[in-house]
This record gives sequence, C-alpha cells and structure tokens, in this order.
Amino acid sequence: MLSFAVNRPRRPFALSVAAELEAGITGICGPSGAGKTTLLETLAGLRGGTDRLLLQGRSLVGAGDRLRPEQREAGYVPQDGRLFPHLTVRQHLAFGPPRRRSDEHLTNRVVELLQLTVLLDRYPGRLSGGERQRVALARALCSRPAWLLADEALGALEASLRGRLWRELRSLLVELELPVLWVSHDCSELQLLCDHLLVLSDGRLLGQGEPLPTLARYAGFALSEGPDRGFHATWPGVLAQDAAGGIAVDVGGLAVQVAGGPAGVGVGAPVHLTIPADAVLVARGDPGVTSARNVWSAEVEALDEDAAGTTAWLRCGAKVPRLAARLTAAAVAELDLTPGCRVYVLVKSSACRVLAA
Amino acid sequence: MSDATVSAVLLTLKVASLATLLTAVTAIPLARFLARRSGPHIQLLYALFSLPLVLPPTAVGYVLLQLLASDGAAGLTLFGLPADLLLTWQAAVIAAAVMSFPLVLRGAKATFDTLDPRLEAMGRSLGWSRRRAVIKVTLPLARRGLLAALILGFTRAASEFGATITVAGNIPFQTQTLPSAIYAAQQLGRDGEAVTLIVVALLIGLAALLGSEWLVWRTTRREDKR
Repeated sequence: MLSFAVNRPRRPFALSVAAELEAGITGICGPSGAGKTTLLETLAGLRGGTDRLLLQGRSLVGAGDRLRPEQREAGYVPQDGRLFPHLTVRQHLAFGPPRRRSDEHLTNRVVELLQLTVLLDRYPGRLSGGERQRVALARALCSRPAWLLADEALGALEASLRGRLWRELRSLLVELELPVLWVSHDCSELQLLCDHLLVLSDGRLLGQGEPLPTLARYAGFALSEGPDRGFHATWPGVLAQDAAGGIAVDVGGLAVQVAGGPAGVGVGAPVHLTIPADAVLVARGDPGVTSARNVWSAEVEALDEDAAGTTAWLRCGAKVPRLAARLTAAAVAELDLTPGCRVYVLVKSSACRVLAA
Repeated sequence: MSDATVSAVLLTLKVASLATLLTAVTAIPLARFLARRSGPHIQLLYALFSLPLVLPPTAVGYVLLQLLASDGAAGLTLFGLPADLLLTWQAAVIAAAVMSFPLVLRGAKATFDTLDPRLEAMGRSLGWSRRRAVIKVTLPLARRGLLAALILGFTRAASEFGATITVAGNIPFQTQTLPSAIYAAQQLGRDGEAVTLIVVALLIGLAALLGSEWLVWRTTRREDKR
C-alpha cells in the first residue's frame, strides 16, 4: 500500500529508513531528533533524499520517476501548522487548485469534526496554537490528498479535546481509505488512532509492530518524559458511579475506581481510561485489605522482556482489554511469573486518568 | 507653465512609469532568486547587480552609451530594438530603469529575506506549481515591502539625471525630462521656470512618498485586523 526508502546521509538530518506498510494508519514515534519530521518532509517532497516511494501501486519516486511536491498529492500537516497569514480559515480550506478541493459534504464534516465553525472567518494571527493545528489538519483533509502525513497534528490541543477527537478522526480516516503516517508522542493517541507503529531513533528504524506491544517495548525511546507521557494502556469505557457514590469507569463490565471524571462529562458518557504501566502492582497471593481502590484477579497472558525490564500483559476479564504492568526482572523472578499463572492486580484510583471520548 | 514644461512633466511620468515596470519584472524575480540561495557566488551576483547604486550616474551613462549605440559594443540591434536608441525617450527609460534597479532589487530582497520559504513549499505541497505558489503565497505576503521598493524605484527613476542626459540628451519635447529641464533652465538663467519645475518635481516626489505611506498604512491596518 505504501512503500518507501529514504536515505539522507548528511547531518544534522541524517536519515535512513525503509518500510513496507499495509493500508491504514501508521503511527511514528521516537525521541526528539529521531528524524520523524525530516522523514515526513522528505516523503512530501519538501526535502531531497527519497530513493523509493510507492503509493497504492503507483511509483512517485523510483527509477525514472521523481514527482514534484505538487504532484505527490500528499496532505501534509506540519507540527507548527504553517498557515498562510494572509488567508482566513475558510480560504485555507479551499486553498488548493480545483482538482485538489474537497466537496462541500466532506468540508462541512471536517469543519464540524474539528470544531472550526466559529473560526472560519478568522486569520491565523487570531488563532491559538491548538486552533492553528486543527486548521492545518482540516486544510490537509480538504485538499483531497491521496495520503496523509501528520506531524504532531494534535500536539498543541487540550487533552480533553484531543480525547474527543481520536475516535471520530479515526473513523473519518478509515472511511477515506487514506494511507496515513501519523507522528505523535502521545501514548493514548498512538494506541487509539493507529493500526501499526514505527519507532525511530537517531535517524533509523528501531522497531515496528502493533501499537500497544511496540509502545511497551520502546516506551523509553519513543515517548517524551513527563506526566501523562510514559507508557500506559488506554481503555475505552463509560463513566459510571459506584455503589458508594464514587466515580468509576466501566470497562467491559470491570468497574475501575478513579479519582474524578473529566470536567463537563456526566455519568454514562464515553471516556478513555489510561492506566500507567509503572503504576500497576502485581501480587501473587490475595493482598487483603489495601489502600488501592482497584484490586482485581487477573491472568498473566504474556511476558515481554526488554533491556529496561519486563512488561507483563494481564487479562482482568473476558471483555476487558489487556493491561500492561512494568516490572523489574527481580520482581518477575520473585513472583515466579509465567504465562497463564493467576495474580492479583492493584491500581490506585489516583493513578488512573480519564479523558472525554 | 510653458508647453515645454508640461511636456517634460508628462515625459518624466511616462519614463518613470515604464522604468518601474521594467524593474518590477526583472528585479523582483531576481530578488526572490537571490533571497532563496546563499554562498559567495550569490553575494557576488548581488553586489554586481547593485553597482549602479555606487557608481557615478555618468559612468553608468557612459556604459549605456556604448551599449545603446548602433555601432556599440553590445550591438543591441540584435535584439530587434531600433538601430540607434541614443537620444530617444526609450533610452531615457532604459537609463532610469538601470539606475533604479538596485533600489528595487535591494528592497525586494530584504522583503523576501523576512518570509518563511517553507510557506511557499507548503503551497506546493497543497497542489500548486512553483510559479503558482509564488503568486498565491509569496507575493501576497511580500506585497507591502515590494510596493515600498517599487515606489522608491519610481521616485529614483523620476529624478534620474546623470545617466539619462548622457544617453537621451536634453531635447525639449523629445527627451527632456524634469531633471534635465531644471538643469537647462538654470543654465539659461530662467530662474522662474527652474523654480516652477522644482515645485512640480517636489509635488511628484511628495505624492509618491505620501501614496507609499498611505498604502503601507492601509496594508498594516488590514494586517493588524488579522
């Protein structure tokens, strides 16, 4: 579906990455300076260095072919938005030549999805960072692209809005059948939006695979430091009230006690629940009475070892997605963990984070 | 005002307008080209194209004299131009264009230098060819600076004397522009006529500068609303 080989030997933007990708949304993550932006700009034709680029069977760059940026039909969303200061938001959405303008239906849908209605007559100078990013994403989607290259397209948005966008944005991208390369540092975003993940480091492809296990394996390389940035499992759920009147999130029948819900979201509303892998405790026997508000029985489904430790994949219920717990090698040995063994899982309610969906 | 004075004013406006047009279509693309590249060869080119700014106008006039004569070094007849451009109003246009060229070039380059070239690349990524991306993105963003550069070029062309009188002469009703008319009036002791011409030159210059200020103010106000 999308196949490329990029080779830029010259520093400071040295890059050597090749990949064969299936249809769908491919996430790209990696530390600052890994070459994520350079890769997207190179594929879009804004920098030289593409050796091979094959899109849906069509050669854009190869032996004898080297299409110019305007011929590659890429919907490129730069990290800084790169909006044109002399055009209103409305003019941005109809910027391209007639063959690159979307129909009214899609434009209206994109405007509604990205909540741009009230911004249509504004110039970029009057937009916040998050608004500028939404306009840049809308401009790319409305340019009838054959593929989408998004660089931290939602990075400057408030967490609450970002959480609301993922599901609908994914369904729109899937419906448009666009091959997508989606750069992000956000662990939840990469899990919920992407079908596949590439991890870059120092201009090279470090690893790739399904988002959740790949993130767990390369979290130390791929995700930014700081709160909410480490590796965590993200579960879709529904905000609920427990018997004691506290706030909980219902995930496939499992009630997860949380410290509080997102502002403006009532009981019964869909939410995303994130549980940091570092905050999950594992006990071999019944831990008895503890301060942790969430104590569940679980089965160890798999153990993935990497250089920094082990990720234990835990199944807490038939309809509950897998939970990841980061453990040290010593803890795995002492608990005598093996795939299939039963354990108790302890998670503090304050460690769980809830985002509106 | 005498008929000769009116003729000089009209010819000045015609010469300055055409010279500005000529510099607009040559200096602006060259300025963009130079602004997007770097290196010693680019600096050398920039310096060479700026030479009329630092050379005495009579020296530029002498070079043009050699080029425009039918038996001149460059043999301009090759380009389908009249056999001998010397002492024609067209020669005055060329002289004024050459003298105002560096001003427009430098003003335009300074404007392009301040623009983010990635915006033009973004325009291409969205489907426009390089030329159309310049028209759709770069030129609208550079409009204010380019306008100021062109108005400066116009005033320079309208006040050009040294190179113009060398190649076009000072023939009333044919090649006599305002500056050469002032020179002639002063040489012949017609002080009243000289003062009238100076006042007209002052009004043209003032109008151009005020017009420029007004355009800049209007564009700034529009941009402030963004």
